[in-house]
Amino acid sequence: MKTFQWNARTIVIVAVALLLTASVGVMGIWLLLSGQPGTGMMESGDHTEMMGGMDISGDHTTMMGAPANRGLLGGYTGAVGLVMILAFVGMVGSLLYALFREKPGQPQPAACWNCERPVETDWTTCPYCGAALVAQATRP
Amino acid sequence: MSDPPKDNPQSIILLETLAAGPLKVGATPPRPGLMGAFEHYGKRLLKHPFFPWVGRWMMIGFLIALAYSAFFGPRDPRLNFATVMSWVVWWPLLAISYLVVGRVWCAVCPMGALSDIVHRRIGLNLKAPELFKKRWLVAVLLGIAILYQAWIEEVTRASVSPLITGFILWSFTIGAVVSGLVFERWTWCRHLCPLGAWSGVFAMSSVVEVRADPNVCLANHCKGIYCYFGRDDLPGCPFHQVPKIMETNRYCSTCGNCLKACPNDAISIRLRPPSREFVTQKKEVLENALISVVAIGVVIFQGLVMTEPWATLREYAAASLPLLSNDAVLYGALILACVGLATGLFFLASQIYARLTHQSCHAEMCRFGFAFLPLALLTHIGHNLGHLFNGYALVPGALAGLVGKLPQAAAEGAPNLWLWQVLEIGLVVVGLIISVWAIRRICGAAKGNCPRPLATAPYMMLAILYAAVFIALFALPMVTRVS
Repeated sequence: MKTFQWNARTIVIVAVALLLTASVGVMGIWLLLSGQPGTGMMESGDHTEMMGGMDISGDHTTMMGAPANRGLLGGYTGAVGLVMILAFVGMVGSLLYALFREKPGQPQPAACWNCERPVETDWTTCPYCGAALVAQATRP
Repeated sequence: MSDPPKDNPQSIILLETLAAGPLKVGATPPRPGLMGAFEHYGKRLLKHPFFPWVGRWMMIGFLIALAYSAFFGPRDPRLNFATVMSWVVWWPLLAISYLVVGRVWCAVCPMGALSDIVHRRIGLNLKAPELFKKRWLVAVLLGIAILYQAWIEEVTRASVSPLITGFILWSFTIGAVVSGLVFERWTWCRHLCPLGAWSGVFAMSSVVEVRADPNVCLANHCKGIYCYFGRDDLPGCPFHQVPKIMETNRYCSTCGNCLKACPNDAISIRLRPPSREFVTQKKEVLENALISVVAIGVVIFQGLVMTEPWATLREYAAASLPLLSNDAVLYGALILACVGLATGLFFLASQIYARLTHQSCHAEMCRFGFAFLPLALLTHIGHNLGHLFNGYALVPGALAGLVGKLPQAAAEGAPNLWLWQVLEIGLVVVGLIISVWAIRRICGAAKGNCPRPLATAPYMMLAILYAAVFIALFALPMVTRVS
């Protein structure tokens, strides 16, 4: 495990990570504002050109939903917005949490009660000494 | 990867007595016949240096084609490579893979592959935050992931929108890459990926497992835990597991890292009954056991909203209560109702069972919750196979759309309703049989505490009730996913 320290490399990597994360947010905002999400060509009515004039309307109302069922918090747009917000907040939050709160590079706090070697919290048996870790693993 | 710790003779003695029972020198002999052949060739495949990277590079190419088509391809979902391949072909095949090969998709997933490449080349390799491993948070995240995934698919109609499909692909890929840039191993796949969470739960019903033979570990006095730490240039388990103590498929992607890293050839891929791990698990916690019941509710939801009468019901709901004209609210309320009903019935059955056996209701819920997972999985497979059988005719058109040669009309193909229903109902019945068998096995494992067959009646009846609901749903006409 590497010990984390701020230097040019880590700054560049963290900046790239934040930019990539932001790209999800930007795309989500674009979808939110453009009014395009989920509507596709089939709702907008200009699909007939692409479909060679074939009439595919009517049969899809069951799948596509009522046209009036759109809005910032409803229908496609609202759901996409929620995806965008949750993905953005979750990714940025976990990134920052890991960088600043967890003091990265330090050993894991969980250890076997018998041999005191580091163990994962979801292990039920210590792989080093065989001690049962069930009580430890199921402890909230 | 960290270096393995130094030897500790005292620890090894305890390991011999506690972990593996009586010491036997040498490996468990291979099984004869077709099962033995499967295990032999399966092991050879997993140990091959090209596995899983050949599959991963192919899937990366597939992901690029999907992304291109999603953003620049035809807007008609029936001609778009991304929507057809994602929702009609890949999604049903993924469901089948849970049963047949466990969580193997995670081994070849292009997003996980990109994360792994980034992590190995330039990643900061930080430990995942301990917050990700908190029991309550894992349970909450998994619940949200499962509900949200089902809900978002319906509300956004992602299956008929190339742009939404592309957005989902992009957000998952970026999540995986960012995670690979910052965190160690496969943190995205292990802790954050919603699809991974769903896959892990269903993989518990798989008929294959990768496990170590503890007798070989002991006979060779293995102290390095190479399967976990890796050896030389060979990486260890990306999911932080140790095969010799692993009890569940939930965190095993069948990536083969442990087989390659083990110097003693102790690890192999084995066939097993589809619900065996429910009986052998030591760590029975309520939130894990409830996942399968939640899965039942989600599968009911997914089936219900694809029936043709659902359109009428939706209009009726919107007319009765204007708030329900909002899809996000309507589908959110419906999925919560389905999951709540499934969970409530399970709680009721557990209460009755606990009274009959004079056991704690909580303990019985922990033990029997998993038994319903095969029913949920087989129903999920049946439902999705129907979409595959009725939509595979769209594939040639989608391939033509990918290279810019749009056909005059999408090959719709008349849905074969009869075949679809027979398939769905047949798989529900198979799932019911496996679930009933699992209930009996779990009950049998309790020895004196489970006076069969009367005591298991509440759970048996509940399984039959769930199956009856599935069959009733599948008897209704269904709309297809993309067209």
